[in-house]
Amino acid sequence: MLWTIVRREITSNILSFRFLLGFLIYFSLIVTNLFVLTNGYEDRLQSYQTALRENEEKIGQVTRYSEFGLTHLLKCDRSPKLLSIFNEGVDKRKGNTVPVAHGYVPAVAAHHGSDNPYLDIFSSIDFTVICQVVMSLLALLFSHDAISREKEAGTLRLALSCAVPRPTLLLGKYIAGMVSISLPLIASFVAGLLVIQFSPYVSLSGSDWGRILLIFLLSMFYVSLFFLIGLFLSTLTDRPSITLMFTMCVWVLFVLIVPNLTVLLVKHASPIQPEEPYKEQARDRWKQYEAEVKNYYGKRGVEGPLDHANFGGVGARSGINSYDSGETVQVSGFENKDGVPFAEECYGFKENLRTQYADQIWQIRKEYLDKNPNRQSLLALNISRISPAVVYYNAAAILADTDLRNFWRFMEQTRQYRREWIDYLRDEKIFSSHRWFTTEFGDPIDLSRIPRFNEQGEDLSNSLQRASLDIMILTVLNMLFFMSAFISFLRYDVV
Amino acid sequence: MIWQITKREILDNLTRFRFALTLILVIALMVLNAMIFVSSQYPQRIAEYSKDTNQAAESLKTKSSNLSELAVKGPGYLYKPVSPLTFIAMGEDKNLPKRVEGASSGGYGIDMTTPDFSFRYSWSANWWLQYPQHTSRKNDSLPSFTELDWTFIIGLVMSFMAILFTYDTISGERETGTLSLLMSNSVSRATVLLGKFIGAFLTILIPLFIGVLLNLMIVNASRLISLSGGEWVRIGIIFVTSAVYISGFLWLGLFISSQFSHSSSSLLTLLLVWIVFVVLIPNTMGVLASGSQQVSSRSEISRIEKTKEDEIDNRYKGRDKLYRMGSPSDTPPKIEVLRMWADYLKEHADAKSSINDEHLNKQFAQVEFTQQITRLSPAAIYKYAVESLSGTGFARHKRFVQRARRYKQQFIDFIKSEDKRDNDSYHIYLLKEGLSQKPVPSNSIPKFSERLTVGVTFGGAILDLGLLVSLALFLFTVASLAFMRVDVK
Repeated sequence: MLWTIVRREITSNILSFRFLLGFLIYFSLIVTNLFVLTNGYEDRLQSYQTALRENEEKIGQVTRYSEFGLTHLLKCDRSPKLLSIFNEGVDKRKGNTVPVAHGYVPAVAAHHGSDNPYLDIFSSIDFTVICQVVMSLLALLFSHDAISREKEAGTLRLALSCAVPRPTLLLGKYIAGMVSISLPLIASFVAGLLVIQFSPYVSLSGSDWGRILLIFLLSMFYVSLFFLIGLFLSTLTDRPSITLMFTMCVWVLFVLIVPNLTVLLVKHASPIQPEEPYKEQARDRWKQYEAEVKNYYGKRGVEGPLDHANFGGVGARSGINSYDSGETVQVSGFENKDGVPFAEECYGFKENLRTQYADQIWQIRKEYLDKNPNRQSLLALNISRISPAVVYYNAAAILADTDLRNFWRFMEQTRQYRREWIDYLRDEKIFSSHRWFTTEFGDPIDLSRIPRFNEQGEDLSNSLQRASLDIMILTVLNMLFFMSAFISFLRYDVV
Repeated sequence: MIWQITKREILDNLTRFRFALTLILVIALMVLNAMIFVSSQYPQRIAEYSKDTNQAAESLKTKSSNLSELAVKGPGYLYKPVSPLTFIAMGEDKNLPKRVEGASSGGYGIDMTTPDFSFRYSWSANWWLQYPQHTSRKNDSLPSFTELDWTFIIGLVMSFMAILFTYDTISGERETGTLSLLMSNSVSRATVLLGKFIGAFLTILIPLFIGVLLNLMIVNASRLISLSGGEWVRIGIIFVTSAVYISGFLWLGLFISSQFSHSSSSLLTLLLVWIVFVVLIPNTMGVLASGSQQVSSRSEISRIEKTKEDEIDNRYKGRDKLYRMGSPSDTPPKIEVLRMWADYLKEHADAKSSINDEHLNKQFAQVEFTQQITRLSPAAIYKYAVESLSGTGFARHKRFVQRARRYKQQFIDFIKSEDKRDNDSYHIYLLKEGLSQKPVPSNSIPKFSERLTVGVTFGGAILDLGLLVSLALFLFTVASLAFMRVDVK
């Protein structure tokens, strides 16, 4: 019996005008957008590869280790995520290159030069947003009259006069609705995969396939939720036109208004404090550092590390930029090795101390970040979860590797890389080596052994675990509305 | 007769759920918009702006102790004034730079001794207009969102409501059979259509009017801003524009409604048209269009700059020509040395200036091209028109940059005329040693200011206003013609 109902419903759905129109519009939007997004991804991939190459070239120019302290900072570049085609998340918005040095603790990322930053005034949407906006509307349009229309036409009484239990009828309508609505969804995913496959820059790995499948299932969950909301509202009224108004109201509120409103409210109700006091604190610490270095020289009876050396010229560039500091030194024309061991010792002390201070200052900066922008972002993210559209978007972002936490993970990796680099510098005793400040005395520095940054992607199981809260919310909401529709339909007056 | 139909429509609409919904939604959003604006948005931006301009004025004052230094270092940072009508259209201001920099960067020094001559001179580069990308966005980790300004409330929400108001005006009556009943009276079709339009238009104007009124009352009562007469005129024009925009959607609704015999089909069609033209086109065309016109990247520009500068250097430094004749800092300096150095530094500054200006012009052209394409969407046209009228958004930013470029000339003229008054000066522009060393009265330096008058803003919006009006007229024509030919049964 269930099967008969499902078949009848699917046929009537698919042959309907709304299905045809909805399918065509959704599909054409998705396909045009996919081309755009894939192109955008390819561009970002190219600029990432250029950045990597330029970084390597810059490392190749280094002749003294102190150049890594300021003028030739090591860079960590963030690769664009392939699945940003499906969900852009923060992938494009957040910076993608981070300088690292023993005096630079990475905290914020800068952008590879964009060709035209003014284009940021145009918002862009991705696959998930189209699905979020269009599919939810289609689902509501399919289900809002599922019960009330039949009642109006009088066919509901007819159907129930046969030996069809009400649950079977409701279930049949749900299954049929979901099957017909999944057709445009499936078609769009297939089109998406085809576009991606044709791109010469892209190859999907096994875990990518898993992620895409999960995003698809998630989209089904999301669409199902709106279908059930429509179905539930349909069992509350006798006239489809009233249901329609209710559903449109729900849609405008949860898809258009709430996601923007919550962020706006959080931004103004819980603003971020000025950063200046933290910067001030950091600058004070650097002053302490300079005083301590000076004190050290004073104890040794000198004014600078090179006081005992006989050399021709020295060029130094140092910079303190609130949280970061560094120095590049170039000493040339040594007449003999006198005083060089002393200079090595002094520079060793100075740079080791700089590392310690940078670590302490990072704690100050971390406090600012945790208490201000990061807290605000998390708050906005959590509060906007009252809209299922946002829940869906977040979960898709996590699955596509493009969410905010994933970006923070990248930043954490850059800090780990800094530790690795410092360990290397200390193991090789580079701070207290003459190769820190001069190219003389033979033996050029070995650039090949310098640790390189390696970005680690997140495991699928980890992503899934992080997305579980959002998936759970969608599941619970699905069940809730299914139960409500079910109970409400049991009490529905069919006459 | 027409009045009867209108009255019936209005009464019918007023008692509907959708009217209550629109009323509540629009009022709530408008009040919220005004509250956020007066409680934090505007005070913050004004505070930031006045802090910035005070710092700029302070540094200008320091420089004014010596005319030649002022001439070389330039007028400093020029900030974009905050428009008091920002609550109407935020205009993506958070993604646009808040200033241009009329400043120099980089100091140079040469100290050389050769068997033939010795030369010693240190100088800083002459100023030129630079366009940095510092935006006023504070937290880029926040989920992206749209500001709930008038362009959102009217452009998006009200246009949606306009569709809900009209989707069943004709198809609904056809369903219930009252349309043929109505037509059986001696009433022309044009009258029926017009009556229905006026009815819907007047009812939808009620929430808009109340919302706008409350919004302006809160803004006005806060005493943060006292809106001038010109600003009230602009608000008036914005309100009329909004009414035209909404009427376009009403005509669209009437047109589609007359084409379908079921109100559910007409609604569906309208919703999809709405989604495509209001939500999707403004958000997708930007990326699409940006791919079609290429702009050089920052590193390419640096390369071009470097090549040009090397070329200039080679010309002047060939066989040490620049150093052989003496240094500008000699006392007393040789006039031809001053002339040569002034030319040399001027060529550098001009080269950088023209490369940067051209690059910015190209970037702007790309944005404008993208805007042209997004004008496929009436919501985008409406947004641009309202942004122009409220003095925000890209068009305003472009005007600000153009204003800064004019100010540059004004500043140069000022320096030259001040320099003429000093008889000790060599009158050689632009070299530190070639100009007057006297202080300048700091209040005589021309101030950078930008006036947003009704004329200027209206002039900027005229294209979009024209497009909106034509679109509304077009939809009106289509709806009328289509309704003449429909089958009323």
